[in-house]
Amino acid sequence: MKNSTGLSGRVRGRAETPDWSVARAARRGRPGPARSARAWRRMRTASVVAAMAGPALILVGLFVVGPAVYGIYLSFTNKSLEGATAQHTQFVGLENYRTLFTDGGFLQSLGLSAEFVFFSAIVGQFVLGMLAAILLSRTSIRFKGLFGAAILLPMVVPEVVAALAWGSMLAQGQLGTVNRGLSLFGFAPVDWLQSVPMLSIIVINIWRGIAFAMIMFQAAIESIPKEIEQAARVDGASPWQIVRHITLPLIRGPIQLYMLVSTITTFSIFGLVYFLTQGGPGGATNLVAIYIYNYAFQFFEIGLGSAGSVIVLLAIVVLGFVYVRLSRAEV
Amino acid sequence: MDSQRRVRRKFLAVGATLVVALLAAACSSSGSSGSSAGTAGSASGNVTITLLESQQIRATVLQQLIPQFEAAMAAKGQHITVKLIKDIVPDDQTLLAEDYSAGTAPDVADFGISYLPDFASAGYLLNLTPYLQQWPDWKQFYPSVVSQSESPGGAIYGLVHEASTQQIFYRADILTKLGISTQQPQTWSDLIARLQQIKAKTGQPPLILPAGTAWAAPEQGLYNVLLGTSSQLYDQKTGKWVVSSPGITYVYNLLATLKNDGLIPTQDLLNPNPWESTKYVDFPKGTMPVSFEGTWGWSYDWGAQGTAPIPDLTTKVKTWDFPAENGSPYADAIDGYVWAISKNTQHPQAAVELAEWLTTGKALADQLVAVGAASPRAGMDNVAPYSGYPELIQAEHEFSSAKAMNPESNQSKIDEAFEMGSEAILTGRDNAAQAAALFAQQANILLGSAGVEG
Repeated sequence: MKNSTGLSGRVRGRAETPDWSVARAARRGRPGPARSARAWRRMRTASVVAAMAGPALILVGLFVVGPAVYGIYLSFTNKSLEGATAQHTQFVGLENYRTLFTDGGFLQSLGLSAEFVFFSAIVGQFVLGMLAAILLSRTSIRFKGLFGAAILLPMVVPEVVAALAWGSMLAQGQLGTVNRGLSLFGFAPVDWLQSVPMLSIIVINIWRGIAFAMIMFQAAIESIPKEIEQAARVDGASPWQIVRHITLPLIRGPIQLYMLVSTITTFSIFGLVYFLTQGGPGGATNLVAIYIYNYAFQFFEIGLGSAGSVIVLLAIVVLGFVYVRLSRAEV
Repeated sequence: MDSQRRVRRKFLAVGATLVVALLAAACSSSGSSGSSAGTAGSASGNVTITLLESQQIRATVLQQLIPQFEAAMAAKGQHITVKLIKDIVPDDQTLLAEDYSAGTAPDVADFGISYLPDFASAGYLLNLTPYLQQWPDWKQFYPSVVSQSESPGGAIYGLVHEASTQQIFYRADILTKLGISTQQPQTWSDLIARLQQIKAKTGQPPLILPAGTAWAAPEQGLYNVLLGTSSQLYDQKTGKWVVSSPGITYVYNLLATLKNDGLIPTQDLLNPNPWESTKYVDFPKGTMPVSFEGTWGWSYDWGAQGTAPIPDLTTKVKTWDFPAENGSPYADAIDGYVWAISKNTQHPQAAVELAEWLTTGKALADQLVAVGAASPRAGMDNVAPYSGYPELIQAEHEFSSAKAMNPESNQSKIDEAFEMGSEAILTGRDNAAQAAALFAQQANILLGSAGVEG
């Protein structure tokens, strides 16, 4: 219902009592200046928050949000670092996306990345990381520190060093450490990076990522009250039943968080695989990160490379959304 | 209340200081790369120019030459200081392209000639033509060398300071020991027959032929074969790449034959850094006694100071020209590195002085010997230490009769597409016809339909 002024009753009512806070303060017997004191406190709190969060926000804005937005913009252009187009960058609309989605190589690289993520992060690192975490959380295990350190070592080795070390171990013929070991048992040498390249990089990435999974799961397991496990044991539950029905359900949140983080980080793995195989042989390990790198920094087609990155970003966002919805984890 | 204001002001001041510091840090130069804009001369009239080098062996020579250049300029009354920047990284051209694009490239850069057309057409480089026309020594550069560095309009954007002749290098000592002829093979059938004889005696693939995406250097490999056909890879009239031709099919067929007959080290070629196990291990050992190679093999690869030295190199190793379809063997002349000057340099004259000095006399001779290259200009035969390397001088003299494939715009993309085709053969995924089709398809994707024909 409208009144004669044409304003709704709700708005008119607000207009008639311009300062509710003063009125409330007066009813509570507080002096008038209380409002300014509260305002000052709010301002001071805001200043402290701004001072504390400001540097981080500026850094994130400068080095994450800004480049990401610029990358999205570049994906709609024919930006190149060389050739005549370097001087005359033009807006090309969705042309880069059309090129990528009609390029079998790009779609293949997305598929290879999905395979790599699934088998190395979601299956391999998860299973072995969980196993290590469960074993190391047992009080009866001796030399826990030693085992933990051994599992942690791959994580502290720089990516390039890890790639070169594995490249040496998997070298063809009798040059490779693995083949030399196998020859002691009468096996013929295998060209690991040629005959089973995807399996090789999956195994290497599992080796490298177990530590992260183990740390997350071990912390989660140790936060479970011991009484629950003891009660289950008193009730006759087997170790497997305890893991299946108590441990895993109680650490569901950390598990889902691990899945999300490991999916994102594994999707963007570049150096480890590039230094081992450079995407070969014959594109067998040409993960999407390597594909994008080649377009952007070998052929200098920044527009196409940016479009590929945006597609990967969207894929990861969708995956993350699915994870969160499925698990309802508090991320 | 005053104290509250003071606290607030302090917070704001600290915050503002942090913001300014961060912005200043973000905007400052990384320090590893030179900046054309940052090399202004001092008030005393001194000029400082930056010089980028991306290979250690070249940088080592330049470190010795730079003081000599500075002294020579000082004697002429010019006070030029050269700051050498060493970016010894695998993907040096990527960093350089980024520097050029960002306007932070060094005054003078040294890079392979294959990048010259694209850097020049991007507007990154200074047109050297007016400077070179005034340089008396410019007339001594070989026409075949100059033509490779000319842009389509005839302008020169890079000063070539080395050249190479590519041929087939073979271990004469090994072949003689095996009782196999070392006569020049006239056709590929001749050479294949000889390679099969070697393989029958050694049990190993005998020919090192750069192919595949890991080596990614068709100019060292299959382009040499393509030169022996009547097909062109680039159409000068239309300015487009010819991605389908009888020559391309011939080249892929040859590769398929060599692969299927086990005459090339297929597994090695599919590994990262395939040259290490082949050129640096098997050829010096003599187990792969035949190799495509350039003049740099005499120093950089197998010389006494090279990566994998072969004792008595010039006695043990000899060269054949490439066999041809028509039975007229040929060598391939290819330019190596060039000095290029940033368009944004504040001291073009000093930068040109440096490039010209480094391409003259003993300074040039020192560099040629270090990397194993032939002189791109006449008049170097008697300049030590170059004069002491007859194999380099011989390569220089072969320019006149050698064939050549000039680098063109989008060279790196066409190279990649070409090697995708060769890799498909090496992996066994494609036959020659399928590989040729893959090459055409990839070239279309990378260059767009407007950049290719055929």
